Amino acid sequence: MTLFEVLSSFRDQEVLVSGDSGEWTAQDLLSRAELHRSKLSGRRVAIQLADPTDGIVALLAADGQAEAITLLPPTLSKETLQVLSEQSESDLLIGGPLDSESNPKKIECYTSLDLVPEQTADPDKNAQPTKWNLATSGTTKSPRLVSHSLAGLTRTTKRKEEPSADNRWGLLYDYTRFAGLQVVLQSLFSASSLIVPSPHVSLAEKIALLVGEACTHLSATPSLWRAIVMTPCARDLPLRQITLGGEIADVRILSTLKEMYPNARITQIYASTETGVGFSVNDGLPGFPASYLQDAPNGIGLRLFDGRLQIKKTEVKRAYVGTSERISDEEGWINTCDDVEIIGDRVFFLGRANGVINVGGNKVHPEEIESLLCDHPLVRSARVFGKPNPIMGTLVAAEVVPNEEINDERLFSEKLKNDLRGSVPAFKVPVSVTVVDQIEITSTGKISRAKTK
Amino acid sequence: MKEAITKIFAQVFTEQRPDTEIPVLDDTTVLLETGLDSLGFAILVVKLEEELGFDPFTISSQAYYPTTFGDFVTFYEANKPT
Repeated sequence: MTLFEVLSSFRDQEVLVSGDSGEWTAQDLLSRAELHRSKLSGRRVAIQLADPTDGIVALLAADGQAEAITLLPPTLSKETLQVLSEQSESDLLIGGPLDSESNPKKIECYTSLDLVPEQTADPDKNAQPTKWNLATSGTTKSPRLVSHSLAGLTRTTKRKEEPSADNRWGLLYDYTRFAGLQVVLQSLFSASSLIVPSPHVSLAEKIALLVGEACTHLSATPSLWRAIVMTPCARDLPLRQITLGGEIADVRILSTLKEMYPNARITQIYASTETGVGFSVNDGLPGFPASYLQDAPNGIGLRLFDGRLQIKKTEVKRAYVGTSERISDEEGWINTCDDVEIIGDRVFFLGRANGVINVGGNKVHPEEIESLLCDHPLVRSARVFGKPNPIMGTLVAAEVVPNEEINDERLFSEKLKNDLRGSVPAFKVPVSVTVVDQIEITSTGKISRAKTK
Repeated sequence: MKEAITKIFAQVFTEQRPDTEIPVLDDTTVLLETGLDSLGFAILVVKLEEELGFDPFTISSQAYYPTTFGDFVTFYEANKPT
């Protein structure tokens, strides 16, 4: 079943998508999408539309018509946009600009769906279900694309025939990313309303809009939840479903949410762009039941290898789109790089095995910041690690061996941070830089990635 | 305490939002409407720990997420180690 068909079954729904920029019924969205369906037939469409409603219309138009949909986050650099458009073999880009220099493959580009021309020849009818390519969050390397299907993306989603207007989902994530797309598909498939705040206003304003629109279902990272509960009208959210994912959820935020929203079910989702939804836990406690390691839900497999969580899911593709880089091993196991520990009958997450630092859901590879620091004329060597933080889960911290003797340590560390600020996003800049005599090296000559508390 | 927090808030704010004027803080100012995002607050908590020697969010047995600047200062005062 295509997204268009799913939505067609509740054409009578009054308002389906609402936000700062307007309100749309299912019929509105279907009518808009219908104009463009034939244009996208048989094509490989990359979508980089900033407005989530425009994005939903493009998905409605493309699914079942296009050979492939590649969803590209609006924030991608021009270089990454070009790489991902080529890896996905897209022949049509909607929303994103590619100038002639960065577009050697001559991909057709249009700023909106309305500008895409009708096809002159009858396209080959696309018999296969449309592929959905999603971008991973790029860190040291550029993002990769992972191929999914609509059926796979909505496997854990309950489909309802009847509209359920009292379920009202709020969208706080970027809809082009896995977590945001989950919210969009979940609300469309369950015929719930979707409330879309403008991405350009403050969190307090977004939450005020969600309160005004009586949002009942909301999904965010634990760090975003910590910020949500700090906004003035957070208590007025009539929440019945709270979803957390993308980061380790600690007892504090879980108990705060339980106390603030006694009528809400609290679900922690273990998911990634590569695996899709792995499993979820609804008991409001950190970690997951150890019994999942013997008998995992939803037909997936879970096991520990060297203290790391591995997951097996049949529909996961072997490699990233347009590359030979593997996602899973020969037997289909995917190494999640999440270190875990079993205490009693519970499995707890400890952090990332490869030293990756999760700053409120944004992943930072320590090597990237280490190499930037080492490029600095004042620095001989550097070690970058995660520092636990009550608001963001973890922040980036660094130890640095300077090139020459330092008189004023504070001034030195401020200078390094300032110089980094121009070249990386704020969440990657170390919050603290400590001057040390030497960097701890393991027996294999690598920088120690042991956990620091 | 309030003075110390206001001072460090201004430092962090200038660092994070160099092009924006530092907002005037009073007890009713909503923290997340000052222009500092949650990353900014996380950094503020680290700076305050460096400066004041404690982090009430980690010390306090109660989970607490302040809304206004007044709440924030009170939380620091209430959890100051004696």
